[in-house]
Amino acid sequence: MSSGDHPGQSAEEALRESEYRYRNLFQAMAASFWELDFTPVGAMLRTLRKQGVNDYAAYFAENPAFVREMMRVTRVIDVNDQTVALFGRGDKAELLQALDVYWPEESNHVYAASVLAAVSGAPSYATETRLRKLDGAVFDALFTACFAPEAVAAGKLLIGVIDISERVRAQGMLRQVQAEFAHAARVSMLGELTASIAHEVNQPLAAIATNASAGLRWLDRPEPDVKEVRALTERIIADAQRAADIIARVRAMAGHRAPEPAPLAINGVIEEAMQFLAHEMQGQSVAPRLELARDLPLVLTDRTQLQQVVVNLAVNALQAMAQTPPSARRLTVRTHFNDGAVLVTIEDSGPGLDAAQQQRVFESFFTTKANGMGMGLPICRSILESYGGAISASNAAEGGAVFVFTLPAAR
Amino acid sequence: MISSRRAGADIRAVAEDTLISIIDDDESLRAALVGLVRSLGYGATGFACAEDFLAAGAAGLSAAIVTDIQMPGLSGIDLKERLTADGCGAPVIMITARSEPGLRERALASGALCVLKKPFAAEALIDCLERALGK
Repeated sequence: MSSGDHPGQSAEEALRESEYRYRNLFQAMAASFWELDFTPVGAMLRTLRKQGVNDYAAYFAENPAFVREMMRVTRVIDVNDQTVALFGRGDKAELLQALDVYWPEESNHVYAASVLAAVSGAPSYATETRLRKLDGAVFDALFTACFAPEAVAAGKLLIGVIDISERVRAQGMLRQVQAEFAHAARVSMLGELTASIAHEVNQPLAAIATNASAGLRWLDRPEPDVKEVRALTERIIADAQRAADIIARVRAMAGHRAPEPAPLAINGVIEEAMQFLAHEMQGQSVAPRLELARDLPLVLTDRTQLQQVVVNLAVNALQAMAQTPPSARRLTVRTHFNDGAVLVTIEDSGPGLDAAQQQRVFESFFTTKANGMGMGLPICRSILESYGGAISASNAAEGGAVFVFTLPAAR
Repeated sequence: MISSRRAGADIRAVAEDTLISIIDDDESLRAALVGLVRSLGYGATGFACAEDFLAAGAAGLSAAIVTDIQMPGLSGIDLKERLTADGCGAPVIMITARSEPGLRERALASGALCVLKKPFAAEALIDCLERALGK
């Protein structure tokens, strides 16, 4: 103990002062603080070692009852006022009991991890988890454990808990709003594609109607031509399936399901998006060029949302080239892998972006279209960022616009 | 009795039959239209594009032409203008799934006998064909 702060002060006085400061800190802090005695846990671990168990992590994972017992033998020696307010019912003494009552089963793995951290000599351990109040309510908490070496040697631990329920709730609401926004953008995009979707569905319908009329005529002959009728009936079945597939694709794109991230092959999603837009692109004399790298790692994302991003960028490219002579319209989509991420590049041969547009193109409500709402690209960005990706825009050497987005490779 | 022979590689062989040429890039509608026209007792040949139709020399042999308007490459309207310039007077029936304003007017202005919107009733096409063949 240092007596250097106050020359002339005795070591005893310095110690008392230090204790007093600590006690004040402990008591008054806005976080919930706990002092625990986990000496019996030490004894349990020594017993395990004697039994030849070397891999505590594996043992804890396979023996949840042992983990609960470790909690039960850990005693709460002291808590501060905030702990009484957060966990208790007004009486501090009620909280000074075995630790297990504060740990719901779903958080067993966190307690186990904190024990592992303590015995491995780490200085601290912190994580988000769910803890239980004395009234039984389980809530989202930031849990921190401090393993000061002298304290650990004496079987003591200092714990800090912060209630993060509000933050978790706000994050949940934000995710929901983002999903709804993304859905609205998809529906709006489908609205822009209505003409070409209708066109696409009308082709098989026209074929079905024509085949059926021909069928009646073959049957009306003095000698009905069954062979012809069989052939056209098979064509009708195939055409009906084609129409159903188009509708299914549109419904999938318009659907409002919660995002379901899964490991996906990005090349396949890009090909689906190009298929979805095949009719629209053909109508605008654009034959997309796909340069998709082989052996790309999978990316963790929601299929519909990723399609939405690709379709949105492709539709923007088509719209950018509306004033370009049809023979000069080029749309190129490339994928490759670099530095842990999959990159997707979409390049058009339109007029490109001027300096102001490059700055603002991802801003909400910024648009260069007469009827545009300016939400497509900001929503693409928020979709990509929610999966750990990013997007940027620049101009190609030949003059068109280039949009590049990345997604981290799934581990 | 009019025989309805399937058109083979050399379409000149069916020249004595009434030949209707069908041009549409949509494979399944093209097959359906060829089947319908044959069920009426005429000869019919399908082409995936106007370029194939022209390259096959079918213009001079067709009693009537049914063509989609919107196709990759030459459109149905482009084709009619080309035929008119070449002095080919075969009646042209145009079909389309698109509903852009002014498209129908442009098609008729180019000399199309009829313009039908997909999906059309077979009767509508048959009416146009009979007008085209002077029946």
